Amino acid sequence: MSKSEKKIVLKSLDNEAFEVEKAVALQSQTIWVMCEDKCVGNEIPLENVTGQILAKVIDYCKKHAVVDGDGDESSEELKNWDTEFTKNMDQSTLFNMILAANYLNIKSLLNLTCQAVADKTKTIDEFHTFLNIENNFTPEEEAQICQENLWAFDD
Amino acid sequence: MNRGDTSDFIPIDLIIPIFSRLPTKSIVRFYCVSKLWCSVFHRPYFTELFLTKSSARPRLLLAVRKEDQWSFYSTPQPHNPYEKSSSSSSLVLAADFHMKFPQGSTHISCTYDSGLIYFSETLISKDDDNLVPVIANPNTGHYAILSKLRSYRSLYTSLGSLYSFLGFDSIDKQFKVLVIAGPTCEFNCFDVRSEKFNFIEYRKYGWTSLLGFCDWFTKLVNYKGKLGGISCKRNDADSFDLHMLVFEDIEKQEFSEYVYTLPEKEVVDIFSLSVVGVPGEIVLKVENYYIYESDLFRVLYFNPESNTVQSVVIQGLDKDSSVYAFVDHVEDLNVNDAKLF
Repeated sequence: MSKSEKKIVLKSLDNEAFEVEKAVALQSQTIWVMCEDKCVGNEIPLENVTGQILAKVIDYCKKHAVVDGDGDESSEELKNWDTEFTKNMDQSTLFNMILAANYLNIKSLLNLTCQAVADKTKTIDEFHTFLNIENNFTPEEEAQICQENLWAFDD
Repeated sequence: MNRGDTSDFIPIDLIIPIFSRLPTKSIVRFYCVSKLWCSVFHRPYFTELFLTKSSARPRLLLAVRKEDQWSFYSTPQPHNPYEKSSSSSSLVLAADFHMKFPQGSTHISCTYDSGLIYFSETLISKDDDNLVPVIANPNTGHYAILSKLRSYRSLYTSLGSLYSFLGFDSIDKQFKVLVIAGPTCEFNCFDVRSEKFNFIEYRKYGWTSLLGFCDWFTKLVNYKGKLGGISCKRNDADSFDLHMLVFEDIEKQEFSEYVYTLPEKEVVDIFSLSVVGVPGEIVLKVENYYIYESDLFRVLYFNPESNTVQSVVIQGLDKDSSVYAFVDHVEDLNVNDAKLF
């Protein structure tokens, strides 16, 4: 394989281009299928992902591509890296990461980001903020549900 | 993106997998966020997905008895405890507290399967001093008295000893209590939901071979979906062997026998060692059945194939209490359903 074939260009929704190793990009099943079908050249347009998010996705893929070749002794380190990776992302970034991971079909990244959102959504207030929904139970109905499940509200 | 756009922004088929990763407690809290979400969380699609996610990270359930009070805790079951087999250090885990079982007392142990605890005799209220059989959910504290089983008990206790265990029949998806009663060892199976008994012809199935193998220290286990029994014995070289009998085919009476020798340094005293279960390939052992003057409790994960032991120290349990441990505890929203009780 010549040097140029090892690289691939990913182009975001806002026309930002990222040149990456093919091995890095192929962690995305979507890109893998595109390359396999030879329906794209060396440049792949990703119409659902912004440059800002794509940069983060590529960071993730780079980290995971390197470590996978290294053997399993660094799996602990990789786990810590994953935690740090999502720790300081705000909600909107996390949602965009979920959408990107879903679109690009990168299972491990989808798992990671879904778990990160789940970890940040544990109280009822967080839930309301998350889905921007209003409570349409009457106070009596709500009290009854709470009463039936007292154990879940005890702290 | 505005915060307010979230529900339009993320499609529902991505939101549901996010919530399937939450602990049961959060889901139950969210029952009261709105009517739509209350119904979503009760749908079989969601409860099945939740169970699948929970089964992927099974936990070790600890039932801790201190005087008259039972408390329930759990810890993660290490996914791959042998990753660090080169290091001799113990893994230290903090136990997550679930709840205290609020009523009365029981003087004997409990059994567990698929999300429910079973006390074969317990005092359920201070006003009633009759011992009753009870099933309880260790996550929620919901419980139910098995009243028909209670009448059966009173009939048989006059004839001699009676032992009973809770099990989950994964084919019929029903909780059942196995009762071994009377001097003739009569086996009876009590269906928790329909409250009906079925007599079991155990002699036909070669259970006698297993009973012949069993003694007081034998633990019956689920070994890769097959019935097995494990006991721990001292061998001639003064170290400890695990004897395991696995029923390959109950009707043909085919069984395999395995003997594993435990790495020496891990075992101090045979009397402080008991088998908990075999989640996957791993034999799990507990040391210090009773914990005194320490809130530490030690569990051993023994891998017979690599002959390695990972010791796990669990922190945060009550001092001076007895600890019963159960493997493969999963969170199942269906078990929380008030209809079960």
